[in-house]
Amino acid sequence: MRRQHAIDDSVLANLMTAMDLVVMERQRNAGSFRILNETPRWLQQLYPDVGSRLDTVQPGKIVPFLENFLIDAECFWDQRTETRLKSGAWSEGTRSDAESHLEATAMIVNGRNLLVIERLGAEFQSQHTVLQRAREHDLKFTKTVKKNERALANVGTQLQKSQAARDDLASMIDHLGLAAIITDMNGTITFISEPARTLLGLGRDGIIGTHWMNVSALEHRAQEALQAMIRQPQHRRTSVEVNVLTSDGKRSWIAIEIRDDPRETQRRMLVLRDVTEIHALRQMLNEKFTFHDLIGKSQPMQTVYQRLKDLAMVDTTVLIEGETGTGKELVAKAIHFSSKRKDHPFLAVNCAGLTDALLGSHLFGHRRGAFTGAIANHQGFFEAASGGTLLLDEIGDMPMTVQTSVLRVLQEKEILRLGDSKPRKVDVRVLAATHQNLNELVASEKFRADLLYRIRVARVHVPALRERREDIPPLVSSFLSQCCAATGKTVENVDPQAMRKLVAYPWPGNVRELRSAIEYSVIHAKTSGICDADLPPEIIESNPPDTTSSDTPLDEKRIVIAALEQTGGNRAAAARSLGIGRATFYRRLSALGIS
Amino acid sequence: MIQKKICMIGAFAVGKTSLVERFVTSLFSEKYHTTIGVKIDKKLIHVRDCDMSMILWDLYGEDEFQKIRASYLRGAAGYLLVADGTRAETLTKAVALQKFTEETLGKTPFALLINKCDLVNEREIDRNDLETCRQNGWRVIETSAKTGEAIEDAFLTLAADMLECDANTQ
Ligand SMILES: Nc1nc2c(ncn2[C@@H]2O[C@H](COP(=O)(O)OP(=O)(O)OP(=O)(O)O)[C@@H](O)[C@H]2O)c(=O)[nH]1
Ligand SMILES: [Mg+2]
Repeated sequence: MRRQHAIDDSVLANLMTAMDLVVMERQRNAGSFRILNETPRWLQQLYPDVGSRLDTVQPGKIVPFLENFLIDAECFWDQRTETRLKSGAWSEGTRSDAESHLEATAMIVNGRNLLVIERLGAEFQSQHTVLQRAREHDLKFTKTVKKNERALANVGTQLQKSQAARDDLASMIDHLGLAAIITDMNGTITFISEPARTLLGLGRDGIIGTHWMNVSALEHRAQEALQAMIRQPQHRRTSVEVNVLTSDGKRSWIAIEIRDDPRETQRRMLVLRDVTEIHALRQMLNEKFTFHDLIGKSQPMQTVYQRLKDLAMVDTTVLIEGETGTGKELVAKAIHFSSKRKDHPFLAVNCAGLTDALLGSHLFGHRRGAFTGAIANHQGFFEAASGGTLLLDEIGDMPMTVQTSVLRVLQEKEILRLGDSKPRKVDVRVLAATHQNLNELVASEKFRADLLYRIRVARVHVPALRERREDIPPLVSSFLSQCCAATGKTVENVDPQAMRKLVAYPWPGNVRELRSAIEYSVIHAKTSGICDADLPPEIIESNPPDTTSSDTPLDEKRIVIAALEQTGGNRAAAARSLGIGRATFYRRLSALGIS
Repeated sequence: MIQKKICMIGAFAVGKTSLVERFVTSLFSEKYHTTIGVKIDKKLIHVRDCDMSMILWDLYGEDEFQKIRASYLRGAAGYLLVADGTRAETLTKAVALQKFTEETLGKTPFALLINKCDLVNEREIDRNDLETCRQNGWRVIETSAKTGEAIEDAFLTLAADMLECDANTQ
């Protein structure tokens, strides 16, 4: 028993050392302890004052933490109520990975008061890891919660702010009369301005939340056009004009511009404009002021347009008369392209300056070997224009022999190729144009009377440019843009002085001459505007507007007559009432032909 | 040489260990390494013509996992109550711990440190609340273990207060 105890003592001592434990027994004199096993190296390293002496140590003097713990330990040993008292972990020194964590335990074994100092190992580390994780998690969690709360609070105030800003903006939009709709990514309306409601004939409520396509009865085609436009990237989008049947039963034209919200590309802003009026005007303009490639809003041109529309309905031969350069070929084209023959060829042949054989061959074609150089069978204009329209320009210059053949074609509706004996059926509408007086040519026996009657079934007179001077500005601007496109120059306008000259010039060469004058001026222009000096010399040198001409505004005559009527024919009083001198007034009177 | 025990008290992760480390070694680490139990450090200072050995008791931060043991406070001549300026709840905790400490130790010199004052944008503790503390006679010092701001000041002020307290009681 004794032997075994001795063995146990040393074995246990080694075991305790191996387990990083130091066991001390409390001595009689307070604060002194005797180390029962070997002093481990780590303890000596940590507390060099401990020394290697096995007899007495005073840990409370060396280790401040133990000094504190021993106070509790003394009570524990005195009271003997519990089996042991733990100090809790402590460590020495500043933070380091090689840190030692220790714990002291006071216990009573076999009536002996023991103090055990333990170096905490793996178990402590895992406990630390768990606690570390728990705390980090806690920190992160509260941080997130707070961030969310802050964000929420932020959103709240921002919402309030933006609500206010939005209200301001909305009323501003209303005041500006801006018809606007904002939709979310699904096309659902999230905002609609008052003017937009009015435009679409909507009531005050119930639109937010509906799909914008369903707001008004859009035609299927319009819906498709809008969908296609949405698919385009923003920079390629143009406004789409749609015919809308508003919920209050009105039909209007609305131009819809689709924009992406710059902050949220899935969101759309639709800007609506009422273009009903513009649409009507444009339609009027289209109908009245231009006709195919013809430009002009003057009364004479209106008459021409009306006549052309009528002639497009029928299939007769038409004689187009007009000075050189008035645009007779354009008139012919206008007839063709507004007629039912428009999908078939339009051909024009100039009858002037060709020998009869050559013109005949051009018009009717020839058989191989019909004449020297006729190396192959050849189709003529009549056949080439099959189903369409053939313009015989300068028909007054057509040789007599060809006139006879043409007359035959018009009567028989068939042609005979030169050198051929077999006639061929042709279906061609013939239009003829001339700047000459065919009656006079008939009288001088240069034109067949029967052909004249045949082609003069219908007539169109194309007015000279000087008969429609008000069309000069629109013609000028049209030629300007065509010319700029062709030359690559950017000449945008004509200064007033130059325009006055252009309008006043007599234009013997008519529209053709005007066109080349503009081409000339564009080439000579040094700035983005045509000025006086850029015009062709004959126009620069032309006389300034002659007020005595028949072009004098009717208004002036009317004003003068009105002044005379008011003064009972008293010329001096009339002059005074008009604020001009008597001599001037007399001159005006004679100029205006008022006696 | 006089020796004084000073406790670092506060919620977890407010920077108690960092403050001590900064004060003792002038180092700072961004990494959070929570303290379990107590960490003891020493620092010799010279204050008011007096050499003092400060025994710094860096106590673990209190939370639901670890509660401060009253026995650890025993014998402290002063304490630094630490709160994290970016976490308002740590000031509440500091106030509660101050009450606990005073109940344990009796009236003892201390200072309230509002740490992490370098994190200006994350600031959560209201200056008005600090004003209230000051009006209650507390010493309030805004510190940063990261930049070192007011660290020396905090410890030396406390040391001076402790000396003054000694002088008064003698
Ligand atoms: N930016 C900044 N970070 C700090 C400051 N002081 C401490 N920290 C950081 O805050 C975290 C917690 O610091 P500790 O010193 O470990 O805090 P503690 O109060 O000792 O924490 P417990 O021991 O768990 O109670 C660490 O990541 C530190 O790097 C400071 O002044 N500024
Ligand atoms: Mg710590």
